[in-house]
Amino acid sequence: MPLLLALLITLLSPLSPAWAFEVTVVQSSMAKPYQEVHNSFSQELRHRLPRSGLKAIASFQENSIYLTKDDQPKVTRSLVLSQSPDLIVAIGQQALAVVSPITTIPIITLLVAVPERVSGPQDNILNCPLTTRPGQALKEILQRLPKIKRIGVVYDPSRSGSKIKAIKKACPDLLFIERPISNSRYVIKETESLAGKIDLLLMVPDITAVTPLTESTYILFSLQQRVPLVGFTAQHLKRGATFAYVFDFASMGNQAAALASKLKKGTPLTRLKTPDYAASRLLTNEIVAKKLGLQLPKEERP
Amino acid sequence: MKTPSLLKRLPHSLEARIIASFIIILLVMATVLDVLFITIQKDTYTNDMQTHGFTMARMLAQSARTGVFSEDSDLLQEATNSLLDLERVHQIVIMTSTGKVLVSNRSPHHAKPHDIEPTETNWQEKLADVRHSNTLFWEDEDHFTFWWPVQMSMAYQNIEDLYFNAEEENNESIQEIGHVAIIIDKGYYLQGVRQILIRTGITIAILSILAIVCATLLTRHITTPLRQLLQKINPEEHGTAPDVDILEDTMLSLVENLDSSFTTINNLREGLEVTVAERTQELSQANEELQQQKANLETTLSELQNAQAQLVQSEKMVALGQVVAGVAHEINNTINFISASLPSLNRAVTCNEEALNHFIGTAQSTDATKQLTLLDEAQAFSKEHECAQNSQDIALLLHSISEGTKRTIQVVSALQAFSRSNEEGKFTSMSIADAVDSTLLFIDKHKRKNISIIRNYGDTPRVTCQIGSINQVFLNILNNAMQAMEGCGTLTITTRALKNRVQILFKDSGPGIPLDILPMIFDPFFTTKEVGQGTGLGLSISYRIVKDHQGEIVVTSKEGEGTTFAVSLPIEQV
Repeated sequence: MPLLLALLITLLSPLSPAWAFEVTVVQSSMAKPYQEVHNSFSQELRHRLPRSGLKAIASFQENSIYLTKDDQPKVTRSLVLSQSPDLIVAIGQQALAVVSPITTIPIITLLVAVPERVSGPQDNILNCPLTTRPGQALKEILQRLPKIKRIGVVYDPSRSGSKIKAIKKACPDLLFIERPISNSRYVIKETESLAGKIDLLLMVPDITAVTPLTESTYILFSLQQRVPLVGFTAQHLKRGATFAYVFDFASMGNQAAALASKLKKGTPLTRLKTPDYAASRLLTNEIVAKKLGLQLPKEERP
Repeated sequence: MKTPSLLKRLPHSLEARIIASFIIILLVMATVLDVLFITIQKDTYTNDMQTHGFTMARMLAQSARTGVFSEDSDLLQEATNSLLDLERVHQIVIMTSTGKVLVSNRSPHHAKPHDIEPTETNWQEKLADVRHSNTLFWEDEDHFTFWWPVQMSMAYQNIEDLYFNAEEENNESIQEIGHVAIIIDKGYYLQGVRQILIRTGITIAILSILAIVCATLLTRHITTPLRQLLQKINPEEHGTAPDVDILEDTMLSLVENLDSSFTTINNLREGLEVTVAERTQELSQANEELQQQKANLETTLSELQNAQAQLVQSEKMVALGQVVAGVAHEINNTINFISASLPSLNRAVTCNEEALNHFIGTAQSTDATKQLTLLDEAQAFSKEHECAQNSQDIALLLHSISEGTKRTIQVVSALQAFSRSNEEGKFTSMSIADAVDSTLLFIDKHKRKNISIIRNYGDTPRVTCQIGSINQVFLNILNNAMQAMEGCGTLTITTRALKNRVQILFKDSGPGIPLDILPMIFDPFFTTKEVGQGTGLGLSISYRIVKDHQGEIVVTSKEGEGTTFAVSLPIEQV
């Protein structure tokens, strides 16, 4: 009789939090990259987590919060805390800024380049990196265009000096013609100075060297000098860049889901290891490549 | 007669006044339209000029972004050269947001020695005014100036913007980095406006003249009947006296004439009504007379129909009388057989009865002697009275009576077969040969005494018909034939079967029918006999009977060779 009573109490009592996995996703923007990362994270996590418990018609419970410019961080944070999630996923820098004061709940960040600039070092924050493997884009391009030797690059040494060093280290066979700048207004002249001296122009994610105006300068230079241009977003490719080494947002969401799954299974946050670099892939603008007279191997074309 | 000028005719000529009104209206309309068109065209030209100016300024601002950003005057020089080639462009100025003049180029078309080049300070003041007033279009005595800001997107704030704001183009923030000013010569604009004024004015003037000429011609054309009318009404005063007065006087006199005409018409109308009433009464009387005549005619027709019926009836009675005479003759003959035999028969029977009584008395006597005596007396009596001969006579007389009775029965049967009066209207199957034979019985024996009748009967089927009516037809034809042959000649009766019909031919050897009366023999009341000898209906009735039987009756005759009546009847009535 006491055993039966205990069984009934167990079945009829409110579900224990430990039985479900509650995730709150805070998203900085409804822009396509953010949305793509979010969707792939949700799908992959649903796929990874086993279905169990009374609430487990879905394998986990997800609450989403989309930030706008008018949102008050405090209010949003209170809303997150009221949900008592097992995990917070912050997609974007603004989202991290809102949830970073929460120190009691694990936080996985996505699409944040340097989380320390926002939150400082925190034990409960695990960041999926937003950097590509140095020189990887050039290596993949060299497989298609092996004759390329001279690489032109305009950058701000204070922002991208170490990055350029790493690239040069990764590609020792290439000759880098560097044009360091301190202000974006020098980009035009410095770029023009590369005319006839390079086989490929490389754009680096440097906010001094790359502005909405200088993007046009690079593209115009590439088309005028018939030199392939390597950008780092799909927009660059669309506007006239020959190649773009872009983030694979779906894979980034999957990486975050893998971390969340391990967390659910009991692995402590401090023992979880994030990948060194973000998943990326090389895209080619076939039309521009053809107009520049590039002979790309057919089997290598995406 | 020379027509006075329009101005002289104006006070008293309706036509002149209409033309003058038209001209005034057209001139007013032309003036208004001229002003309206000039205003519209001027506004359109002004808007077009402003749109064009702003478009040039905007395009220059767009192409000058890089040069302004990098403050590269050489780069900007190229952008301005193409615009300065335009005739209307007087000067182009490009400045940074701080007021630094990067380019200030004047068009060689408008370079004048006395023009004073504004200093950089002047331009900075003007730029300040543009920002302050937020007006991009300026106009002074000689020039229009179109301003437009040079803008560009801001630099990215962080690496994330670099990656993700580049994906979303709309998120770029805009910053003003300078201004361009395009100064357009106002003389070019004023020259355009002057051309508009001249072209529109000339066009309206030409159209007005055309309209006035057309209006004048149209008015003259429309008022031609009026002029002709006035010429006819008062040729002496036309052109000098006011048209309207002449028309008014004429109108008043016309109205008076009309009044008197109406009065006359009313009088005539009243007289006409009386006449109509009289004619109506006459027509009513005539109608009544016609009705009376109609009633009389109907009475006459009824009487004629009765007379015709009586004639038909009398014809029937004649035929009946003829039949009765024939029957009486036949029956009389047979009765004669009987009546002539009866006295001899009576006498022979009485004699033999007495002889028999003698023999009976002999047989009843019981005395033998007496019996012998009586027997001798009886034998003597029998011998004396020729009783044996009497018995033979009785047999002969009885045979004669029997023959008479038999012939009477035959006559009666033939009469029944002929008349069938109790079955009138009923169609019955009969043999044509039998019908002809029975009819022949009733032909006057005296008439056919010396006439040989040849019966040439073929194998014909029985015919469905009204027996009495057909017999009447045959009787009429046979009587006519007998009368035509006048008691001497040959009558050949032929019957033969045709397809679905039976034809009976009565051919006599009489004198024939004259050709002139042959077409009339079937007409009612037509007869060649003397008055009282015939009704003239026999053949017409026969014709009608045959037609009622869907048959045909045809007569062929040749004078001196006889006449043939051919009657054909259908075997079955449809």
